[in-house]
Amino acid sequence: MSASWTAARDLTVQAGGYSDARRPTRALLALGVVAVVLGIAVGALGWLDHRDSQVETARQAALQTAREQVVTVLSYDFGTIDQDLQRARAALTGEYLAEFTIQANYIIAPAAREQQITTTANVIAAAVVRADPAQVVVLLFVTQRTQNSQSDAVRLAAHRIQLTMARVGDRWLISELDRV
Amino acid sequence: MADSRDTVPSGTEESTAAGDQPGETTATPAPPGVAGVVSAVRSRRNLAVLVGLTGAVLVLIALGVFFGVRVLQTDTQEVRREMALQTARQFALDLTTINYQTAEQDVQQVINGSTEQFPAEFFGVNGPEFVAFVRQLQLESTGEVTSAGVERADVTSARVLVAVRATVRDSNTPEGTPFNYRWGVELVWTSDKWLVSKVELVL
Repeated sequence: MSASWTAARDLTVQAGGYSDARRPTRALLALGVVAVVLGIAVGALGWLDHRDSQVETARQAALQTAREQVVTVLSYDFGTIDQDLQRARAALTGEYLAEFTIQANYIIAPAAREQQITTTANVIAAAVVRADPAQVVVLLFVTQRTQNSQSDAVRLAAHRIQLTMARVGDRWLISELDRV
Repeated sequence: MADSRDTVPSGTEESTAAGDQPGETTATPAPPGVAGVVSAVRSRRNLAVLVGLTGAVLVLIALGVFFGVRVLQTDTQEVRREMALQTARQFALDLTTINYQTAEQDVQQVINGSTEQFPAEFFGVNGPEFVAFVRQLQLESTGEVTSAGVERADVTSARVLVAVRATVRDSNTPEGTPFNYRWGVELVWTSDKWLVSKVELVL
């Protein structure tokens, strides 16, 4: 009776020992799979989060730059026209830089000197049309005050300007300017 | 090693055995012999892997919750922002697309997209009075949104800038008068959609 109980217990221990040796391995394998799957999911979420914050950073930085640079591009004084237009060019990139350079040399600068034009732009309101990490489109309501030698009156113009801001290195530059 | 120690218990061996005591104790419940040692080593290694993996899983769960919540919040914000933009664009279009022949529907469209007090504030009269006014003047307005952007947006309120071109014809000016509007459109979130609460000229 006692012997058979001991034998039975030994069998149980052996059986238990056998399956115990396999069970943890299988459990560890499952846990490993869970860890890998979680790792991939966390990686994907982290990437999405990183992209979200890149978009938000782009939105804020480009909007701020657009507000400042549209003033630089649209303001000039006939007395300092060459420096003013040079400064404006530094805010531009791509096709718009080429387009503006031609306009500046053949239209803006001669007219400014001849009519003694002084013009100042003011941003009244600015908003983001769309944004991604490399390109942000901004809508600006700009009011421009212009004076010339022909009259004492200040002319006021209400502009609606859509700027496309492109990231070049760590700077935001104007790559398109549309009057909408 | 263990076998030789069992068979030849000398003095020096004894002290070594005493030094090994803790290791010896852990090995005791496992079956004796080489198999026992191997299984002991394996179970200790398994324990280390178990602890490591459990730790990794817990850290990953915490990171997942952290990033998940952030991404979800941003996505909600982005969806609301985009909806505010589209709602404001459509509303600006509705507000500048009014024809005396379809005045009732056109004005109803504006009323549907805005808060209760908006029509009275914007038109200066209530809906039916404005419809009568449009019919009387034979007013015809066609609009086009040339650009629109979000000035600010949070979960419950937003302000959208809209650039609108409109041509308005009435019995006095059949050739039509062009308008270039700079509008600031304010919106409020109402349970499942944005409603326009105010449209003002940005001067």
